[in-house]
Amino acid sequence: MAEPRIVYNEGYLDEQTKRVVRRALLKGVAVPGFQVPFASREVPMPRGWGTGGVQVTAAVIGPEDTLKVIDQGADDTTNAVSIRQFFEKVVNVHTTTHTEAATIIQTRHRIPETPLAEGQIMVYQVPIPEPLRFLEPRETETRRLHALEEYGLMYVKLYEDIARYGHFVTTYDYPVMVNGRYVTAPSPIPSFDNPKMHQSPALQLFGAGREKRIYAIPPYTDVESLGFEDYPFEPQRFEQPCQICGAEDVYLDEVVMDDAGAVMYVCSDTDYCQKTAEAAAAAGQEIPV
Amino acid sequence: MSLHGMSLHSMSLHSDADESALLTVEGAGHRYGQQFGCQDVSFDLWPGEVLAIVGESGSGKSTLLGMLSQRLTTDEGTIRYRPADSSGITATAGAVDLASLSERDIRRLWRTEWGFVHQNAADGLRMHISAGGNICEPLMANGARHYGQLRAQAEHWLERVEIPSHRIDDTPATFSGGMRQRLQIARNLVFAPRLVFMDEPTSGLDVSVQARLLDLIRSLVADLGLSVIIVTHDLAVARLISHRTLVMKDGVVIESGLTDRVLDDPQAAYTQLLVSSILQG
Repeated sequence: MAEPRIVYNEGYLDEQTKRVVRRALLKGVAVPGFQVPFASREVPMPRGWGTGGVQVTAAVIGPEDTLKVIDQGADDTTNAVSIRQFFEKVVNVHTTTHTEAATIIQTRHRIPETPLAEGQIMVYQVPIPEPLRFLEPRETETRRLHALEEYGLMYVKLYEDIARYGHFVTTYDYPVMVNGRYVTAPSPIPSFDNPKMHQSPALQLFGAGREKRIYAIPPYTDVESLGFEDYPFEPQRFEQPCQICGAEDVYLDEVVMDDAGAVMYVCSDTDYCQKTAEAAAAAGQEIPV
Repeated sequence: MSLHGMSLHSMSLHSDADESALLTVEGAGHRYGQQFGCQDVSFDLWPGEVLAIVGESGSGKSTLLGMLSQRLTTDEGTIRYRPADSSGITATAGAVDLASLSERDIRRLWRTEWGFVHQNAADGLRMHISAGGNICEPLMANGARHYGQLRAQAEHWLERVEIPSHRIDDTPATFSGGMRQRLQIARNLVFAPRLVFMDEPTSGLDVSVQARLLDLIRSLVADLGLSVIIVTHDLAVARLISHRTLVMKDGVVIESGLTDRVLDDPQAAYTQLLVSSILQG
């Protein structure tokens, strides 16, 4: 094959831009949960498709890394595949679908079921980094509320949930208190995944490209989901196991099977599902379908 | 200024020797560019006292209220406030110059010691949050985290301001003007403030609703022992609920004293005009 006509810098972004992002990341790690403004650059994908996550990944990735990209838990969706191929091309990095083999996991809307380990980096794609945004539209005001630690407004939202529905109906992007100081948006992960952020051994980095914000949760940091004394936070629960691999206590996707409304519940984490199914097959178990 | 009348009044209300003024204003003014919105205003506000500020449109009443509540800067003179012991604000000789406080401290005062009732209820309420949520927000801002207790407080306060408690989960957008204003008052009183600022709370309501609302404000103020500064252009409102009245014109206080004295025996020419302009039934 002939030489490619355009030679990209390693990681696509130029070195100065990577420094900009890294500086924001360092500040974010130093002040867990604080949204650091940064000069978000253009990357070859539309804003809202994970440009923040791509910039964060580009700033921390190197050729010795192994990258996994998931979209709603799945390794094989369009966005996940194209971001993975993008980094294969611009960093010449190894990619994987196995959670435990990855050093960097870029994600949209899920945390893998396989527990994360020390040394791993989670990169979240964040559409709206401001947890107070839909309660207080003024950016100047929300920054002031964060600075002065005035979070009464956040509880108004929770109050309204209980008053109207009798329980918390916020099932994704459920607000968390990071390190006892900043109320933070965990990106739109399901509240099922919220407990996984607490004291996680992995470094968690959040990039919001359109909103030009970066924030971070260092390893082993307290991440508390908000709640009332008499109505504590309850993560989502699923009654039945996955219908492919039989795993319990996992986040399930509802898959519509036919026009008659038949549905099937399967793991949203494709890697975990495959692994569990293989282990079950090796043990000679029949999978309940 | 008839300082004599003021001190007499405060003596009669507060004979305890250890009582001192809640708010002491000395020569205070706020400037818009080169012009003063209000200028050289001085008065003391005592605990449990209701002070009316009357004057025509554009006379600087609302500017004065904004300055007192620290929404506008104090460009001349001083405003000293005596914070509660629990406020965590260090005050010399019991009082503190509000201009010296940080934004954090001022906002703490707004949350814990001061209420502000806006003329337009929509300015002081979250119109698409339920009535209960509106009442509970200040409590939650102050750290209340028990839903059951919050709910009980909200119900209690709805009852106190005569809103049927089954409306607790309705949004103020569905309320009548009078109900909105009463809800705003509940939201401002629920955290037991010491001082409440009111900016024309009854204008924009029809006369019968106005009378009921004034009645409600008067009884709540008496029950809770609040200090109130109320801005109004309506002398009847001042007469009905205030102990003392300041009359403003062109940004300065032209007359002050006990409300009955000011209205029955107005001394400034402008006040005489104002009083005589009321239609006699």
